[in-house]
Amino acid sequence: MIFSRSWKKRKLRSGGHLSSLSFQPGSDERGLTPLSFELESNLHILRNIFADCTDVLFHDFWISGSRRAILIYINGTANQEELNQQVLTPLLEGRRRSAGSPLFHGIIPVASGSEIGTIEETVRHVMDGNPVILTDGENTATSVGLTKWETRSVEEPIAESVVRGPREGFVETVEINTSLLRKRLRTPLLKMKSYKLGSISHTEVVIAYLQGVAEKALVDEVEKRLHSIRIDGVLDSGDLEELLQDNPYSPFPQLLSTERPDIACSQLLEGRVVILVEGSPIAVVAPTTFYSFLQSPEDYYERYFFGTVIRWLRYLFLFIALLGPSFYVAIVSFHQEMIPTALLLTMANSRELVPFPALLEALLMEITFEALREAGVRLPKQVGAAVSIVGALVIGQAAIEAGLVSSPMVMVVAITGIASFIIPHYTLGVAIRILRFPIMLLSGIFGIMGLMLGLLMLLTHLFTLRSFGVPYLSPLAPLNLQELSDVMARVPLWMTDASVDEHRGKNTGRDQEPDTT
Amino acid sequence: MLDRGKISVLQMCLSMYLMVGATAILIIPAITAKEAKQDMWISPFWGSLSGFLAVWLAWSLYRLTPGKSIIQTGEAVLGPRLGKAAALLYILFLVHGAGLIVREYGEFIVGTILLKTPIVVVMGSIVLTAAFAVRSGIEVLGRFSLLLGPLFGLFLIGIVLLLIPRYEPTHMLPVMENGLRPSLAGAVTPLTWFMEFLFISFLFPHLRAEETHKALRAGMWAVALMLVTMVIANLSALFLFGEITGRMFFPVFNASHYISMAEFLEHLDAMVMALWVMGGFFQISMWYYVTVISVAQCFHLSDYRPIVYSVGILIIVFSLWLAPGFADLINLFTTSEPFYSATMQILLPALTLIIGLIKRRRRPLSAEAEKVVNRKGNG
Repeated sequence: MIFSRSWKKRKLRSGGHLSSLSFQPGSDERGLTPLSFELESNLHILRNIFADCTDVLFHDFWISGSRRAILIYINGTANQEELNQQVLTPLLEGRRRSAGSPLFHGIIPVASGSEIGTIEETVRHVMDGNPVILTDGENTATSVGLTKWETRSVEEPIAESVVRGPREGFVETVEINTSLLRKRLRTPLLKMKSYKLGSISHTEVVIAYLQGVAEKALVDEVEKRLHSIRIDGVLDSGDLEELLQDNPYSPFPQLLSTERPDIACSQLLEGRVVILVEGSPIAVVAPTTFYSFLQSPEDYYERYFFGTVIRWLRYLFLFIALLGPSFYVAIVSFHQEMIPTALLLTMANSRELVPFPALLEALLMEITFEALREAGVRLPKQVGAAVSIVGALVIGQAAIEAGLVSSPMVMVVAITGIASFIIPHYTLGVAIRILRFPIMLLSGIFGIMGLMLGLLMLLTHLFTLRSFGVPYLSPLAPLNLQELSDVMARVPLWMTDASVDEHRGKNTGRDQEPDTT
Repeated sequence: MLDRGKISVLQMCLSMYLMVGATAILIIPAITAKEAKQDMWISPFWGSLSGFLAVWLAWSLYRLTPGKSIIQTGEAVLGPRLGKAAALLYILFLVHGAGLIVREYGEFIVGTILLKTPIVVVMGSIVLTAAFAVRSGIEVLGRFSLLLGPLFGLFLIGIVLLLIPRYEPTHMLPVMENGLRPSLAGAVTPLTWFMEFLFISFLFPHLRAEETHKALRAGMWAVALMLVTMVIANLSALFLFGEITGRMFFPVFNASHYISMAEFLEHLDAMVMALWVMGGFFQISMWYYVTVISVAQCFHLSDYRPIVYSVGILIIVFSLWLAPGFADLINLFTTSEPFYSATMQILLPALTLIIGLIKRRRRPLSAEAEKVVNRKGNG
């Protein structure tokens, strides 16, 4: 597998600035402080570290009324009710335990908990939301797995809705997201590896893949790239996407992002790697191809005739979204003879009053439209409807009457706007929206020839682009006739091998039961 | 090797087809018609002979020194000094050739659609677009060939099919009224064009190892495909315009004016031109690429990308120097160009081949020549 050179270059550039606050586990040689037997000295260090953190609570209590202990937890993240019932009550009322016995496990009825031996680990556990108990006379602390971060319940994905298909979407909690994947793929072959990224944020990042289906080189490459990331905080999978992609200067998304577990699972089955980030309801998938962005899961849930027709409709409207206004500008300014005479007369009549050249008119309308759309995204829901009526109807109508734009132009812009919504994945839609403008300029200067030149430059870029070593336009270029059938039509499931994929090349048998080794 | 990209045999075949084909259909029918009159469709048959010969020459040279283009073969066979001189001649010819094609497209676009645009602007923008493709390497060019080749073919078939109602097949009668002479005289320009297939030599090293044995056959197929295309283009120009074809500049393009179907498939000039721009873009990219690679191989550069833009400027300058106007350009094609092409594309490689074969008969390719190529050939 060939990985892009540009990515490697960038990796070297973003040389590390590891914060002194870093507490990466498993690196003893960096001088970790062991816990002392004296509670007071431990407490002193910890109070210093958590100075001015009013949300970190230190709860003083006596185990069985005889030994002093401290419970440290973050206000609001620990399950306080459970903490009282399952931890404090047994400890306070429990039988006297002999000194030196480090484990509370017999007493505390919780499923997960662990022994920790250093200050750094204690801090790490507290920051992860686990309550930690320090006892006098012991050099280990006990972390109790009673974390309860505030979390949203699983809801219907908003940006990728379907008529037929599951209604579940990813949420901001990575554990829930992994469970959504596991729910659909109940096999030990589904591997999930967890990492902490961000020198300050310590965000949990999980990569999921199907062992034996995903190529090992791909998984290794994803891990390698994740390891080489030096960043202070990862707030969304978007941050990660930007640091993982092959070509940082491309307008095209090189990783598929989705908020639907069913898409993530179908990608896993195709041998790809899904990356989940704590705090982000969007999973990113590597590698991806251009045409993955033009697929909706519904293509597969609906009848295949329908899926095929819809796909072609999308391809057609992809071109309209990209070239619609450019084509109109080129024809109106350079190649009027292409328009049928009757239509030409109507259009000339409508354009007669407009003082601007077609290019300027198109730019004016397109920019206004983009602004309206951007405003619509930010608007509160209650106002949204009013603005869209004002924007679409009133401004459009008034602009025509005021002689600023011609009515065919309004139509072209409207169709282009709708066309850009037909792309199922928002990220590709954005790329297409931006690329429309340079091509519009070119066709305003050179007519159809400019449009072609713009398209050819775009194609050159797409031909060179790779996502984790997989050519972006595959299976179209490089051509693979067998896989091209899935681009040309939604092939009925019973006719496919159901697991042919460009970067594996061979069918590894999704139909057959994988060995559980 | 300068460019590690690999292409398939099909991509090579289509690349060569487009590298020669796009302009061949644009202007050759008119030039052929001047001499051959109604026998213009026979001329490509004679012309293609040079194509088959050129492919065979390129393949024989490749067999003599596997993995090398004609530039490197020249150095290996003729020795460093003479080889370098030959390489410089090739570079001069290639820049001239690339300039010619850029000029043809410039004249075509300025003469038909963008009547008021300065030709330099048109040529500059096409060369710039091609420069991006050239910088991306042979693999990207191969992918383009696979996309544009079929598209270009379909578009030609489309024009021919849509024009069928207007054809007058009687224009081709009487066949060979004055014997073979007119068709042979008309074959001079097609002969020149078909010789360009020699540059398939630059594609052989990029073939995947397991497909190399099919290379010669694929090259011959490319020539055959070109021959069929040219015959069809000439025939449709002849059927439509008869003997006045010779007085036009771009007969097949002009033919597309006459398309009229179902009241709305009319006036397709702009669409036809758009497709021609695609073909032209690829053709220019191929010539451009071969030129850049020749320069890089001749001077043993480690990378060819840094010189792409400078060579592009050179190509534009050459395209302006070639001839003052389009009529002079046509004049060039019918007078000195055939001899220049024949010298560079048939005579020189043939001489190289003969010398190489003699040398090999005496002793296997001299050790020092082998060493020179291995040391400096970067590959």
